[in-house]
Amino acid sequence: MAWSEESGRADLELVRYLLELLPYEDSERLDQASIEDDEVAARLRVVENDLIDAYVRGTLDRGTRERFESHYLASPLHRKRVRFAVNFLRAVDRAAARAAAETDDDRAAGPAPHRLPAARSNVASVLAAVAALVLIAVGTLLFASLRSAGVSPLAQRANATPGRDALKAEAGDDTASAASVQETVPARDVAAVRPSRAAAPRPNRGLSAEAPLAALLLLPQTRGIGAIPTVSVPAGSDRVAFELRLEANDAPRYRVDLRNPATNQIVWRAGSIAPTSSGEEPSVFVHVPARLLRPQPYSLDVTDRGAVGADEIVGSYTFRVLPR
Amino acid sequence: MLTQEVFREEPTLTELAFSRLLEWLDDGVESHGERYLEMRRRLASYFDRRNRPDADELADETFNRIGKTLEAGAIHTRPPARYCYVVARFVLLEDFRRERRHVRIEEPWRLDIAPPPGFSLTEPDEGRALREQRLDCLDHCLQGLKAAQRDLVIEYYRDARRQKVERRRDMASRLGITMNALGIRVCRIRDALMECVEGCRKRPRRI
Repeated sequence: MAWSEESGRADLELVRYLLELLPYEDSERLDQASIEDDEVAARLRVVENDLIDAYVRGTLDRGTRERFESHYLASPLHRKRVRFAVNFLRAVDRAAARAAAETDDDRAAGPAPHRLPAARSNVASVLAAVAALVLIAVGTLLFASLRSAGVSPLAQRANATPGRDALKAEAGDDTASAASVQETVPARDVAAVRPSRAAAPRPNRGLSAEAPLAALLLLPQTRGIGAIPTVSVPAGSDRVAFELRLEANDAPRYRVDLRNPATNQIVWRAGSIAPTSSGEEPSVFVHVPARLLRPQPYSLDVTDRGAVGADEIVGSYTFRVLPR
Repeated sequence: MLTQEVFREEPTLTELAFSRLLEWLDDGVESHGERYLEMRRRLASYFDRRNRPDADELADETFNRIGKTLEAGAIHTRPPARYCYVVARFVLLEDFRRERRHVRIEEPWRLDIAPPPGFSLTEPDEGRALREQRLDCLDHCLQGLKAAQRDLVIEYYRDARRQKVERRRDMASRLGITMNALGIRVCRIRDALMECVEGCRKRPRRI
């Protein structure tokens, strides 16, 4: 990470202070300010946490990382902070992913049904039920009238018996009363009785199987010189899936780093992935955000999160992204 | 005489001295001990940056001396934080002199500036179960936060590369505070989480 890209000059000076890169006088000045000056003390805390997080996420440039490891990590307290940051950032990213997934689920389910206040809801429910019954009744009558070649049964009764005007009026009133009930019931509640187009699921805008997905299986590299596997990222893809076949499965979890071999910089990291086995061959599956991939070679380094001692790279998978 | 001075243990603060210290640090604005905790943190960080392995003890030593001075009379140097720095610097220099006379044999690697070889982002000898416990504790501690605090810290620290600064600026703007104030707020939550995790790890696990 080139710190100056995102931070001001003051923050850059604080980073150099933390890494013991400042001249003696400047270092003394900041020693004093870190105790006396509330603003500086607060800013130093923020910058220090950001520096630690950048190291954990692998976004420090090589020189800064080496200096961090040789000087900052000399302190047991600093090492403790870094170890905490590893798990802290993992937990934060996990919580953020969960929240994003819940938001996508909510969008896919569509908007929540409109809810009326309780009292109005009861009245509206009754009116809606009445409207439904009237509609059913009218529909039945109309159906029957079709059967008798378009003559309404009520009209027939009216014709057959005295007081047909009253019955005609009744038939007419029935129709009119249905319409008037419909008009009385608020439009939104009538809509509730009808199938609602609004309830149709909306397209999922988040990471989903609907977006085109590029995928690549990478085998453990051999010493032979062969063609570098290539992958093309389709337009509209938001991620590229990689299956990294392992030579052996000796660890419960692995870390996967996407590295730009030209700069040796880690551009993306998946912190803790459990392997899966297809048949007898273990693999680690990762989804790399497509926006990070440029037309160039990359390597995916799989690291065994060793139970003791240092992490160990167990596999390095080189591939090339083709121009779109 | 010199040897006696080196090995002389400073007595801890009396109750009177400690209460005067708190009042003096507050400088007229009651903080309920927050100012003391913040100053102690700053002092410990200062000593730690100067590669002192006993940073916490040196911070306490600094306060002991200030407290004794307050017991005897008033301190005229202002603000209080400046005096804290002055005393801390003396404590630091004395510690340097002590170290030159007595090599700390329990941590020989401290003579080199590099960290112990094979530094891992996980604790030495930390098995999978312990790592999982740490993560469980973190999840538990995160859930223990108020929802607003949890959302704040997740939004602030989540991985978003180049948009980080813009996102934080937007957050500060939404909250109506400066970016510095936002930073210190989430730092405090982060420190509280760190303490919570330490406490959680020490408790026996429930099955």
